[in-house]
Amino acid sequence: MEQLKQLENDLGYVREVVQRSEHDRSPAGVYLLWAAIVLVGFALVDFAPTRVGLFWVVAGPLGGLISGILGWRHSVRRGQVRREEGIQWGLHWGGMMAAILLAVPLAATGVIQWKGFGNVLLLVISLTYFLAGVHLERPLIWIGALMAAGYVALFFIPAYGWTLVGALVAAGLAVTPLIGGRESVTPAK
Amino acid sequence: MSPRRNEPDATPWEGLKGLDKLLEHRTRLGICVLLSRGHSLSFSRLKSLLEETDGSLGAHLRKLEDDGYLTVRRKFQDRKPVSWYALTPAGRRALKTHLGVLAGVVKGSASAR
Repeated sequence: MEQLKQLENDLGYVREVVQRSEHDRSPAGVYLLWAAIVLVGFALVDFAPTRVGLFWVVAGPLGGLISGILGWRHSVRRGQVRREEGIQWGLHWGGMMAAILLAVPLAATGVIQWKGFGNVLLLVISLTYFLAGVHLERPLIWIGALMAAGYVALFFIPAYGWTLVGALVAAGLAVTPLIGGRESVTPAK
Repeated sequence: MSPRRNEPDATPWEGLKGLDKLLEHRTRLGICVLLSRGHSLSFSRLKSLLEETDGSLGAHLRKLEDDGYLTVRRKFQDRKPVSWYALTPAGRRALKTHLGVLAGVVKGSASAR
C-alpha cells in the first residue's frame, strides 16, 4: 500500500514537470516583427493600394522565415528543441499562405472584386490566428478575435479603416508578450 | 541495454514487480517522459524542469545513458559546451512498457478499492 502511495506521488511529480515544460511562448521579437508588418501592410491599403500585393508577397513569406529562425534560436537558447513543434507551426502558417494563393484566381478571374479581396483575406487571416490560439499558442486567440472585429468594423468606417484596424492589431501584437508573463530564458549548458 | 524487469503478476500489487527498476526513480522517469515527447533537452533545461542539483541530475543521466536509454550530444553554443539529451528507441520501448505496467497497477488498484 505504501509503495502504491509513493507511486501516486511520483506520477504527480512527473505530471507537474511535464506541465512546466509546456509553459512557453514565442519570443517577443516574433510578435514585434508581425506588429510592424501588419502596421505597414494594412496602412498601404489606404495610402498606396497598388503596392499592397507586392508588399505582402515579399513580407509574408520573409516574415514567416524570420519568425521560424527567431523561434528556433529561442528554443535552442532555452534548451528545449522539438522538431515536431516547428513542423506544426510551419504547416499552420504555410496552409494559410496556400489558401491565400488559391484565393487570388477568384479576384483575377472576376469571381469576386479586388475591392473586397482584402476583406476576404483579413477574414481568412483572423481565422488562422484564432486557430493558432486554439491549437498552438493561446494569446493568438485574442489577436484573431481582434482581426475579426476589424473585419466587421471595416464595413462601418468610411475612411482610413485599414490603417485604424492595422494600428489596433499591431498594438495587440506588441503588447501580447507583456501580458501573462514570460518565461525567463537561461542559456543552455 | 538489459531490461531490468520481472514478469507481471496477476494481482495489481504484485504487478509492481513488473516495473522497470531503472525507471522506478521519479527523476529518471521524469527525464524519460520529457524526452519521449519528441524533445531534445539540454542539461540546464532538464535541471530547471526537474529542480535537481547538477550532481544528482548528472548521476541519473549517466545511469540512463549507460543502460542505453538515452543519447547525449555535446555542442558548443556561444563558445560554451552544451549537452543535449534525447531518448533512444530502446529507452522509448522501456518507457512504454513501464507506463503500461503502471497503468495496469493503477487500474487494478482502483477496481480493488
